Amino acid sequence: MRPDAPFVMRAALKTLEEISAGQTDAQEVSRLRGVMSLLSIVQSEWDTCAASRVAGISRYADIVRQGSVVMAGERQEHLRRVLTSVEEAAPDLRISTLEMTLDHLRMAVIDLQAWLEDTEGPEARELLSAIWRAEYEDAKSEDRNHSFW
Amino acid sequence: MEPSTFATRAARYLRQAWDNPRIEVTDARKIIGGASRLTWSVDATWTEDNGAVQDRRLIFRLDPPSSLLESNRGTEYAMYRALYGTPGIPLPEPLLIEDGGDAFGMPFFVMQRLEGAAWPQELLTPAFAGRGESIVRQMFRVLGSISAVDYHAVGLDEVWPTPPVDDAWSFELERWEKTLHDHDLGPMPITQAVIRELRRNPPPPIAGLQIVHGDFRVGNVLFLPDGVMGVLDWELTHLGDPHEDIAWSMARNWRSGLTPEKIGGAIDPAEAISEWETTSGMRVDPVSLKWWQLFSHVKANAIWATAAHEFSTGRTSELMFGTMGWLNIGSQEKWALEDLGVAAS
Repeated sequence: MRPDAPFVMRAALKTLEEISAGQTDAQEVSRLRGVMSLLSIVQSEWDTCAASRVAGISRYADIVRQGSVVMAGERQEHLRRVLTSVEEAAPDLRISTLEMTLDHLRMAVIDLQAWLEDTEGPEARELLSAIWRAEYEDAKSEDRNHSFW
Repeated sequence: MEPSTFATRAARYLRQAWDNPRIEVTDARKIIGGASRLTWSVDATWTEDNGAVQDRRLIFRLDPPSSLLESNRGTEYAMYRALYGTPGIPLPEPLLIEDGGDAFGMPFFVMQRLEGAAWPQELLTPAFAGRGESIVRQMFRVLGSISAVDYHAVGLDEVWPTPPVDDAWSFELERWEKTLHDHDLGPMPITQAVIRELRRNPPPPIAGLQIVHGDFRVGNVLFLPDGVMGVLDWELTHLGDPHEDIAWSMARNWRSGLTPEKIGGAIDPAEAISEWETTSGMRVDPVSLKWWQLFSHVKANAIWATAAHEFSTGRTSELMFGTMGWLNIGSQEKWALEDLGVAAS
């Protein structure tokens, strides 16, 4: 089996750990730790980065789809256009494209959420709650559980 | 800049500033950490006419071309000058300020170097065994003393813009919202929703404006096993609601991964509040505190966004700037939603 990227990064991390252990300069140690911290995150997200973004797109697209039902006029048209662009981009699984699609959806969610906050009625309340839940899932997927110390 | 170059330039500057051609710089080293200014530790020494050897341990704080925080050097220096010597607020003595770039290519100020550690991991070392609780308690008493200062009496009303008392919260919210806008990282629906929530439900009115350090936390306080030696990094200081400092100092960002429920890895939030109340002479309003806790997430994300923006636009190649935005924003937004009660819904 060919060594995959996480495997190679594990070796890189080990090398950096060895270099760090031999360092006495606190500044150099700190810089090395910064690089190691980054590498270990890339290593841990390597396998899931596309899947987590696809899941995020699905979550927010569902919200925008529901929003396009409760909204009307130009707002509704805008949400529909966003959904069309999401569908058009769907076959492209490059991370950069997935990120761009997510950003389109996030932008649409900002407008939808702000509108719902000023809208009365159980339908609006329910969709607003769904948005909060989707956002929480989004935040969890971006949470790298980084501790200050 | 190489340490030897910095030492040469520092010696040249100090000889001129203190009109003393005998000054030599025996050591100059860049201090790691600190993202808003470049900080150098410098040892200067000279021999008096009577043969007595004098030495000064100094800190040079330089304004780099790219900074994590848009901060005002003059304000920070004025703060040190105004509060230096105030009982209960240990500070380094401010010594010199230079607005020109002749000495180092950028403006800077010089202050006394205090002994002690600021890096929070130090609290976990054997030297601090059994001392953490007392240090963190003292930290909050110091914060209370800062909140208790009459800013008119120490001449600080000349230094800052004074927001209307009733609008102190919106002044700060707009400031950080603008920072986010100016360092756009793409759409942030959670942070935007939190900003709208904060604006819809402002904090209770405050009786008056107080000095707010702006970045008071473990990491910006210098300590020895005996206690707190100095409060550092006043770049974000302003007049406002003291709940801002309390909320910020207790934020989850600064808590140890080992004991996330404890402030500074040592005391409960209620104990920290109690210490602050002892020296400030004020009471914490839980509703205000909650508002400022939520606000802290916006402020933190604005800082992370600034870092990420500076890095991604090539204004800095400091790895720390690149990692901050990437590592922190997701956690910050998750915590914000948890503070809003969304996680439980």
